[in-house]
Amino acid sequence: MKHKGTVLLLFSLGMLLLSFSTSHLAVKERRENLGISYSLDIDSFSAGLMKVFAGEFKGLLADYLVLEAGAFIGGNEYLSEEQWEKVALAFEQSLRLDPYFQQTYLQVQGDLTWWGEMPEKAISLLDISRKHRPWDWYPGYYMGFDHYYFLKDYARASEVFLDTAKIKGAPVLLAVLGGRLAVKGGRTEAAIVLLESMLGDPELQEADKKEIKERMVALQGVLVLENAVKKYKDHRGAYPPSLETLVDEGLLHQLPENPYADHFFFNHEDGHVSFDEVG
Amino acid sequence: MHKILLIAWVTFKDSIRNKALYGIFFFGLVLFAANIIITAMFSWELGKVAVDVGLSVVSFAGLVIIFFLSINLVSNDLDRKTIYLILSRPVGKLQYILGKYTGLGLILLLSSSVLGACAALSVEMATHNVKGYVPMHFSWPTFFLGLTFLTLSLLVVLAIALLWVTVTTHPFTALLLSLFSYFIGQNVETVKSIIITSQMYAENPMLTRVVEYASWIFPNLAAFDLKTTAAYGLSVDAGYLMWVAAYGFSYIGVCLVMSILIFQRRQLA
Repeated sequence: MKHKGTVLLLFSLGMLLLSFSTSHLAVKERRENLGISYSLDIDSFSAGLMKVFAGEFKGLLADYLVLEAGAFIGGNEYLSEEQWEKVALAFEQSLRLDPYFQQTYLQVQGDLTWWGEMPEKAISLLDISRKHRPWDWYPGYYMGFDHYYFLKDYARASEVFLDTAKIKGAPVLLAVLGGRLAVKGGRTEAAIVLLESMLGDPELQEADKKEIKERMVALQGVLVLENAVKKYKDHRGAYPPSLETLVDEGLLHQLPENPYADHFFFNHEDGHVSFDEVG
Repeated sequence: MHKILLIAWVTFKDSIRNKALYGIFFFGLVLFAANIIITAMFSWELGKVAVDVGLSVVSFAGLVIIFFLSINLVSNDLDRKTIYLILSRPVGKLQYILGKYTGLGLILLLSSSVLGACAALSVEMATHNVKGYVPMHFSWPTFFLGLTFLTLSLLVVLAIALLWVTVTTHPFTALLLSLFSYFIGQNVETVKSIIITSQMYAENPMLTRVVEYASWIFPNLAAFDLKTTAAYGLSVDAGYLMWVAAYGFSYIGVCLVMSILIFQRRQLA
């Protein structure tokens, strides 16, 4: 009887060891694939509802969401459109919980635009950071870049760049860039007004002042030429063949000086005037 | 006054002897060590993450002290009838309540001071070699301001927990009601703004009224939450802080007076 009991126990042990080995291998195999099948458990809670659940620990939850989204992107070789939507949601929830966090907007810019191909979404999220971090010029800079590079919306890019350039400590390059895009986006006059107001800043360095003044001269030249070209077209029904025609026709006494080149650039097919060749 | 201080001192000593308190402190210290590891997982504004974790741990430990230590301590007095030992001496119910609150409040102050110092240390350690990754406006005065208001919010929660203990006398029911009050207190403002701004609730004035009443009954704990302000060193209006402090102390006062009134009417025999 005792012998029978021992045999039964040994048999059970053997079966259990077999079951353990099989399941252990299965778990191991599945865990090895963890990186590829790593999932992002972001539920479609509205950001307001997330706040309710997070209570006073909303900052911590915001950190966790950013970390989770970053790990998810890094742990997957390819993300579907639906998965990118989830990542965007995680960033949005994080920004609603803590709209100040620098890491969130940097990841939004780095991931959502280049890899997720969601520049519009990135811009809307960057705007949250821009509004909450009035001392930081980076969110505005990225927004302007996204408008320019991904959406080809030069007018909006120029507007954002010029607005961001007003932030203390922002590089003067933003104003210069905003001015250049203003020409492309048909906002030359607005850019001149903004640059003029920037010149009034007593803390502006001499070198920056010089750069802004040069850009203003260039933009004023563009504006004068644009107005003359418009007058010519209104009169003749077509664009002039060259800028010199404007002087020949008496619309201008002389062509304005371009601080960046020996002349302004003109496309007689669409009437576009610019101070550099790239236009 | 002497009797209140005496009960406070006894309560304080009683709590200090409680092993659960050491567990809470140990847990806090472990989390601060974890703070350094958690912070290292981020690439920008590490200081913000360190402050988030540090102050959240202080808050969490304080809440654990209130919900699992303080409520038990007072409820057990009533439940196990040990209160007779106190009330059989020349001590009134008013002095008992005020003494208990002061003693437990001192425990919270001790916890916030010790863990707050650990939090500050962990923030310093986590960001020592990466000063460029600390939010631009971060300042220690703002950090300690956040810690102070966090402690005040814990004192408010303690007052409301004490009120529930006197109402129910049963530790579990008091715990549930206190948790419920804490949850509502943390969120009543957010819920109110969701209801006001959401079209979904636009045709439900009853709900708006209920939330409005709740905002008068439960403390608005979100008003004391300066963790984000502390993490980024955001500017905060001194007038606002004064009003919040006045609001907190008034709420504590109201809770204590109500606790005394209820306790005085309670038949303990």
